[in-house]
Amino acid sequence: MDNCVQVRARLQLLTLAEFAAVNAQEVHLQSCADCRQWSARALQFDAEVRSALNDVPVPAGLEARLLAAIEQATTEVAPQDLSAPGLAVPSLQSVPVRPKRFWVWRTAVAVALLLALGGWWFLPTAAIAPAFEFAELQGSLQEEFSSSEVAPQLTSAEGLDCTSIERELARLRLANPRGLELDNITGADAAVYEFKFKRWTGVLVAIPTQRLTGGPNTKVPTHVSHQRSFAWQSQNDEWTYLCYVHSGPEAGLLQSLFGGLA
Amino acid sequence: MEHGSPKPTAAALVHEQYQAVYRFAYRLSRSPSDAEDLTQQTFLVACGKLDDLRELDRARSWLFTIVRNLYLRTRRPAEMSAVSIEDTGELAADPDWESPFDSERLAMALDELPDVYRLPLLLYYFEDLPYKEISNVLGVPMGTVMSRLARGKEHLRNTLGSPEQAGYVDLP
Repeated sequence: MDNCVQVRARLQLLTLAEFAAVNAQEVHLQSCADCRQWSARALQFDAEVRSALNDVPVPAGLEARLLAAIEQATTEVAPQDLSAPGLAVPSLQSVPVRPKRFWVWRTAVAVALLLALGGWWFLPTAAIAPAFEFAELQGSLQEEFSSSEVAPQLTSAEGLDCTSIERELARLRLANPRGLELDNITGADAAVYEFKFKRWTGVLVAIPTQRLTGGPNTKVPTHVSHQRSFAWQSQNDEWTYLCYVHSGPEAGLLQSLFGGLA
Repeated sequence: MEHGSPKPTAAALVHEQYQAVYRFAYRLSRSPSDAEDLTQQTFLVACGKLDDLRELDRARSWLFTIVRNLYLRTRRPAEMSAVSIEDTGELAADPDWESPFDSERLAMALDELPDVYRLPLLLYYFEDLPYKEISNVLGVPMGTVMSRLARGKEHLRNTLGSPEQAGYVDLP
């Protein structure tokens, strides 16, 4: 015959629903007043804790906001994209695109130099991985991404595997990535994500670190003075991130995402 | 949604479950804005996976799983590391406090608990998960779940009132 310790140990291993169901049929309880009292109090305690846990006021209008977010996501994001947790914002395809003009000079200079040297046959080698000077690139991208009103011409991000995005960045609701050509030679060189997080919106640019010289060399998001942006490298050094904040205080975004590291 | 209907619509799922999901998210995140954010992410994920929902009467549990996974994904490892429950001892029972189940008092007691104790409690009380499943969810041995739940409950009991008030008495 079970003693009090065994019965109580067994009952405490049950889920709440199981406990309630088994309790009434427990033979030992019918003959043991102490355990009957213990069981009744345990059930009452659990029920009251559960009830108190549910005593949370739900914000007014939440249902409408949820439905609006779902409608927005389903109309602007391909259905399969919703299967990935946290991906639920308008895609960049809806962003007004202005004609490409930023990298034309770079391409022209590169081609002219190659042809002038008579070494155009070196093109495949040169095209594999030209490096970009980080500070210069940062300034140039600032012009392109500092405002939500403008956006460079973007292409497919095919070939840019940005799935290893940082833990903190997983909290951002990232749109589908689009590719950004930096040299007009090798195809997309960087992945561009529009993001939304609470009251902040902006653009996150992920560039393979190996394509950069003089990068930020820090894994701590570092605020760029006089600009609403910050830069850092991924924990595995594979990616360099540039984040341009369009709305909401950038310091607050840093605080919320990274605990105000910079 | 009605039990047995072939496929819930997103609107029906939201209408029926958004309050429960928000409450769970709030208890996890301890922040109204984070809870709303978690709730929105949860429904966006869920609506992309409605086909996965085979049994409609399990919708709430399914949604809670999504909430919990989204929440856990955002936690820093340091927050999930073991912390002594003694560190939370400031919330000793207040002899002048009479109502053992004041929700604010409970919230305070829960908020003072490190995640290692709070998460098993929430999984137990909100999701009604058995120990084995809580063990799987949190990736810790079942014995650890048992001890953490026991200590979490003990903390709640001590905070909310005397053992007699709270419902438990010591074994004879």
